[in-house]
Amino acid sequence: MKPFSSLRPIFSALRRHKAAVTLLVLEIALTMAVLGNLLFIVNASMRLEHERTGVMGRDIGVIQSIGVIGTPNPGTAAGNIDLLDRVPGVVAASFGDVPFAGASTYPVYADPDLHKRLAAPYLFEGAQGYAKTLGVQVIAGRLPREDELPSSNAKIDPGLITQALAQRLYPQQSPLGRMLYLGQHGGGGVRIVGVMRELRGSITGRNSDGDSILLETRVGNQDFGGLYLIRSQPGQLKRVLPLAAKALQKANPGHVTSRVMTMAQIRQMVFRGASAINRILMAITAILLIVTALGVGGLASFWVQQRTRHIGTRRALGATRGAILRHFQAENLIIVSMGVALGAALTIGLNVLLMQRFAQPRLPLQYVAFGALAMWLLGQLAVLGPALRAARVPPTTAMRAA
Amino acid sequence: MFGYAFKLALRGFRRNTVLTALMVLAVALGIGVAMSMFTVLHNLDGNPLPQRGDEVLHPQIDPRPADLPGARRAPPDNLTYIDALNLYHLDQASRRALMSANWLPLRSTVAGSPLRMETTRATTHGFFPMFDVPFQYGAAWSAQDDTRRAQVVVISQKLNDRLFGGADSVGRELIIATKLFRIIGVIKSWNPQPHFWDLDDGAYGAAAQIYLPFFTWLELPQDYGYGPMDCWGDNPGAGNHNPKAAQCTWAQYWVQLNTPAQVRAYRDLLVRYSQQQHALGRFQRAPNVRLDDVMQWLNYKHVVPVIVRMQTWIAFGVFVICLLNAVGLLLAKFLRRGGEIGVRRALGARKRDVFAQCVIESALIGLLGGIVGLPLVWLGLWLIRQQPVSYAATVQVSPLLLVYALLLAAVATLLAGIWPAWRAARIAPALVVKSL
Repeated sequence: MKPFSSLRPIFSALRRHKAAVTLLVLEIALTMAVLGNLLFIVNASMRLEHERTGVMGRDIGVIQSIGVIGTPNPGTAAGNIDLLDRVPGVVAASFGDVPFAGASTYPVYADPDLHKRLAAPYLFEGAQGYAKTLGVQVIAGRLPREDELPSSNAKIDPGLITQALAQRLYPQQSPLGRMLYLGQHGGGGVRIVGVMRELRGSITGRNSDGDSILLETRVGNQDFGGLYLIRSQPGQLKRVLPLAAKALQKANPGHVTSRVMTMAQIRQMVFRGASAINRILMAITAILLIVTALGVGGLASFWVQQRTRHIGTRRALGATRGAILRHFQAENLIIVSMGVALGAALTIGLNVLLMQRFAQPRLPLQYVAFGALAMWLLGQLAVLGPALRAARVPPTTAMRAA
Repeated sequence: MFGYAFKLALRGFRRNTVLTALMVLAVALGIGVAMSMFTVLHNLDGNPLPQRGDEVLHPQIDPRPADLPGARRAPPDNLTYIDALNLYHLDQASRRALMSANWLPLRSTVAGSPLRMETTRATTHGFFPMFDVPFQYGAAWSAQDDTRRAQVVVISQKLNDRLFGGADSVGRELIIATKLFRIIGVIKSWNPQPHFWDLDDGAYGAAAQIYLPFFTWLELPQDYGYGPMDCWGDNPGAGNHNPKAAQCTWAQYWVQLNTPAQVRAYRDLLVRYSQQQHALGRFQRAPNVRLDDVMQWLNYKHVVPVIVRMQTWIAFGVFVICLLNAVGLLLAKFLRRGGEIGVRRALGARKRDVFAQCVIESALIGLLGGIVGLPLVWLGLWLIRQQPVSYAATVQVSPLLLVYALLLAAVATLLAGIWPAWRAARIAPALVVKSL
């Protein structure tokens, strides 16, 4: 079996259909370009959907309890936290911001006069038990001690920063014991007592998502409305959260319970638009592949019909069914390979266009490789039907038609 | 001539059903994808106030300090409390609306009725006529209601349905943020998209449930946020509990100016106001004003999500691939009929006849593809409406777009057929007839 001798009839056949082959090559190249870029967009967005926030999201629930100003209310912030702590199934409870809701960026400075701006990290502010409720992982230093928790208008707060922020602000140095200054409360200072593995205020794909500061403040007898948080025993949140919300409302008749949500629900809400768009893009991708397969298969089946007499002749001259099958498969492989060569360039070209027009990131080369593989596979699948039909052409066709 | 070509085309379809069906399907899928995405874009891109979008304008001035690292050159979108008051009182003649949004605890006057947070728009009386808000019952409040801080409220049809079973509730009372308000109007379902007058919480979404006079709202016992609060300087939280903070913008302002001369005069007024405030020492920057009409404002704010534009481009790319596909298949189809064409040419048909015949056949395939594609457009839009994206629910199919879809399918496939038809017309009759 000489593999290259079987290529000769293929090339002579292709030369006779220059126009159709060119079109097919173009179609495959364009399909590959669109496919690679769509998959890249969808995959980038899906990766964000699974990015961690650094809190124990699966067991955290949020109760938004809004104080109606002007209505007497017996509940107090400290009392409410204690009350939530005592709800069966609750591991920890507090009051404060959570990722996606409440945590927003604040400028921080190196000096108390607020001249040297360092960064704009997310500021997570909460009451006693806040870090424990979020379940952040401390990798250096410690959580603020009970006795050093400041009241709400203290000048210096003990705080934690994320590893990402620490590396940015103090490369190769220990952040513990250093001071940061915030613009709010007239330049309040933060003494760094611990470093958290990670804590993200939102998930946008930017590196700054993971720059965060966590501050705990002691709350007492004030009547606070806002986000109360609980962390349940693992897997118990669905059962515990409604109980906690009910207990909180009962103790605070002057509040409106407006939203009771698990972190998972908040997360889902944040990403539902993106996942819908991913579904739409995937549907477009599927249609694109179907159309291209139709085109490849259609043209192949046309060629088979057109060349029935030649096939018959080759069969009569001793070509096996397998040889005919391989002829069409190899033909397809050659056409698709030409398409892939052009498609690789087009994929990158389209990416450059998308980068300029729609501020998309640069496409990694794996997507080109994947697009090429997909095209080869698609071509072979699309050609299989017509090629099998060609292989079934009996040798007698040659004589009959002549 | 056309009738004959048409008959031949139909004959051609029958001869090669599979190939024809493939082409029709490819065109249909391409049209389905491209037109669904285009409809979405068209919906999001539309003018939400077609009757007077160019007469309703959004003034912006720049009260920021001169030295503000990282600040954009464009003025802030909204006004500070003091500028909002000044501008509102400066121009008494034109229709105008000062506004903001938050949510407020509301309950009915029935004892023991539950409290709920309701989305609130605080605005001045000009809002309703300026934006053509339709009323089901009652009417908007008056200028006097604004000045004397009247405790009146306009509610949405949805809230009226929930609280009063859809009955005429004008004259009844509600407790909003612990104060007693009299209902003076119920508006019909009204929610133009994008809701250009407030893009703070995304451009596509639900309208407010209650509408209160702006100055009454400002004086309510409340701390429920003040809309698009944005503060410059060291403390981004300065305005959270204090709407009057000097470094915070949040008040939204729209004016109606009916003639270009009025627009010019108003722009001058904004510049003069900025200069005057500069002279007073309040403003540090040179006058930096904007005065956009509705569509300019929407473009300036890039309300159409980038991904939707990109999706539409990609969908049309898919359509082009479908057409390329069609060109290939048409070429195969026409050349396959070389024998027939040769005989026709030998019998006296001119090149031009063969060409016209093939082009008509292509257009017919396109039209068929379009017809099959229409239900696909409808299906695609139905699927999109099921998606939990803020703008999805409002996407509508207009009959005109469906006509465009058909036309696009026919014309595009016709164009795709030109080159294959030209190739077919070039078939030399002598050679073909000899080989038959």
